[in-house]
Amino acid sequence: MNEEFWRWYMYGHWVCLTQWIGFIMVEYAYLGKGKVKHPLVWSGVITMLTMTLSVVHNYGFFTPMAVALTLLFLFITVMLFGGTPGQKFTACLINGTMCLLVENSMRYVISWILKCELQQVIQRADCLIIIAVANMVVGAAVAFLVGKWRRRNALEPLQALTMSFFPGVVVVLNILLMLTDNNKRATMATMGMTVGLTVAVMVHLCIVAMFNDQVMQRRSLHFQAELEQQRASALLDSYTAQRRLTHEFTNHISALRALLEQGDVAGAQNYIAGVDKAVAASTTIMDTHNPLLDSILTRKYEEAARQGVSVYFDLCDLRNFPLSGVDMVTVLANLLDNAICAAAQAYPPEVYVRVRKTGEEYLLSVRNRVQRDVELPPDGQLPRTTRKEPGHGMGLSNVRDVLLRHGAEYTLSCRDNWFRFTCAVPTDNS
Amino acid sequence: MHILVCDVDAVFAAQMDEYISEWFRAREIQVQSTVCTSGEQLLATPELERYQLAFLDVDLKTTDGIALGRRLRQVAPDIVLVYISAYLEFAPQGYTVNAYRYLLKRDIAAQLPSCLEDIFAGMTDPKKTLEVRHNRTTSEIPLDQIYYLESDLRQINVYGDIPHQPICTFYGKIADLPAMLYENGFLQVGRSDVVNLQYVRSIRNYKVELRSGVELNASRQDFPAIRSAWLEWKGQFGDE
Repeated sequence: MNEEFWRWYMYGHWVCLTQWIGFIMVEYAYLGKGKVKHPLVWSGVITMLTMTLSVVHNYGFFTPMAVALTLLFLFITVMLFGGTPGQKFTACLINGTMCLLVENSMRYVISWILKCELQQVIQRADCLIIIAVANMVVGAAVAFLVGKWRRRNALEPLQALTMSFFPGVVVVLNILLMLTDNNKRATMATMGMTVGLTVAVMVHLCIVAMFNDQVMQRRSLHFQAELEQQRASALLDSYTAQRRLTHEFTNHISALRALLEQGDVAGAQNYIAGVDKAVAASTTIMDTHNPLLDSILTRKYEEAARQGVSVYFDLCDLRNFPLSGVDMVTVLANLLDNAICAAAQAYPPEVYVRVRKTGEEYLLSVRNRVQRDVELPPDGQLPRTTRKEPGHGMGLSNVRDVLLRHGAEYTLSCRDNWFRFTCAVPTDNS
Repeated sequence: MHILVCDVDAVFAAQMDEYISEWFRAREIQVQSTVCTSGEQLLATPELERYQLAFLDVDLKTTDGIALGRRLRQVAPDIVLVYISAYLEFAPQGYTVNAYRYLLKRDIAAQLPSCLEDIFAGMTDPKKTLEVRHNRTTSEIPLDQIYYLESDLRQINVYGDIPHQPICTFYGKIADLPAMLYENGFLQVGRSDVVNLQYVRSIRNYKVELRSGVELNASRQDFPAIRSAWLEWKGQFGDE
């Protein structure tokens, strides 16, 4: 074993190490934290163990045993992170595709430039260094992109599956090329094909990202339209009630005139007091001194009643509530919609809405019964929706966006068949 | 069980009384109810301190229900107040009476049974106390007298409203404290401190400040979880 061998041996392991670090970055970015505490530390430990195993048993590089060890590494580390089994599998596929395309493209390009056989590329230390650097750079770039994708993914599972068909075909073609060309020198055609396929995959992913953005935009517009519709309906209800009352006022004025003509001032005062309450009660069910809020809450109360859900309010004077207009509708309409929908399937079907004002913040608590406890994702993420209607699934993330914009703090929990959403919105002068 | 019903609408008040009496009769619980149609009549009721539950109209002609509730609470501090109204009017001072629930008259038939069930379940709950054994004697400390518990070597000091002066001390570990404490608004904020959230003034900068002026260190690792638990508690129970 000469010095050349040891250098090659060391750099070969560098390639493996960068590949594994790339896998971990992608998994962390795509799946986030799961139930396991300190997943990155554990991933580091597993990386060192895998490396030790590879060195001790001398599995070599680009051998079937090395590939098997890498696959095992991939499937073990993916378990340390969050996400559903489907997402974990997708993360493995992304990593597999990334690793195959990077290394194959690099091998073909180097082989074509240096005019050497493909097999020789992985036996040269300088080539291994280039592959290791490429692994790190591409791993970091893919991790950044999938992290962004995770937050903005709007594709349905079937759409995502269809979109992944093309990268799948490219992977198969790459494997076929690898198997048939191993002892040959890369030609212009094979190098062009490998690099071309990799570029095609990148272009395909850009198109998918654009499509995804369009879907997001469409959903967002749909959601905004729904909110505006709710606001308009709430105001229309109030307006209709007001018109009805205006009509009745002529009768009330006649009655008052009659009482005053008889000199019955006390009777007139009593009459006014009665009318006053009747007016208020026939427009909304409550008065928090915030007319839009009253309209929305009344509407939600009626909707809940139609579904057999009891909504209990414990509010305070909300005339200076820091959220206004669309923001207020976004937060309250979504929270109440979710709460009413979940409570309708639970027993007893109840929703409690409580708002308190302290010196520096408004505390809003919406809690509802649930049929069974929902497992909430760790690290403050919002629960994913299972409903399929267009526009759905935007709710809680929009609530979060509004709250964060107002510097509010929020928390959600689900235990003992109660789902609780609580937030503290700073007052305007705090 | 002694119950008060106060509503300007005598017919509605009588109907309420019937609903309530029927609910308790079905559970074979003796109930004595008093129906009033004004605040003055209610306050003139003899032995008000014996009443455990009051259903009050928010809008009484000569007084408002919230002020009446406040006066009633002065006489009977533990009374459960339920407000009934055709229209829920939330004034800034509304929550200072710590009302149990606000019900709408139009939905009373649907909401009253569940309200009564919850109230009754709360009333039949055993008094919430921490049982402490020390020097072969057992004592019970009401939870609402405890500000925080602190572990000191093999002992636990129980502190009340007087800073740094324990109400009592007993042998034990924080890990062995009963789960009942955590179900009743207590939270472990550090390795050796468990606080009663109702006496927390603020939690910020890894410090927990109590209403007694005591400042405790919060765990840095669990700080986000501590903040979340505090926020949730404030949202559900906090009244400042």
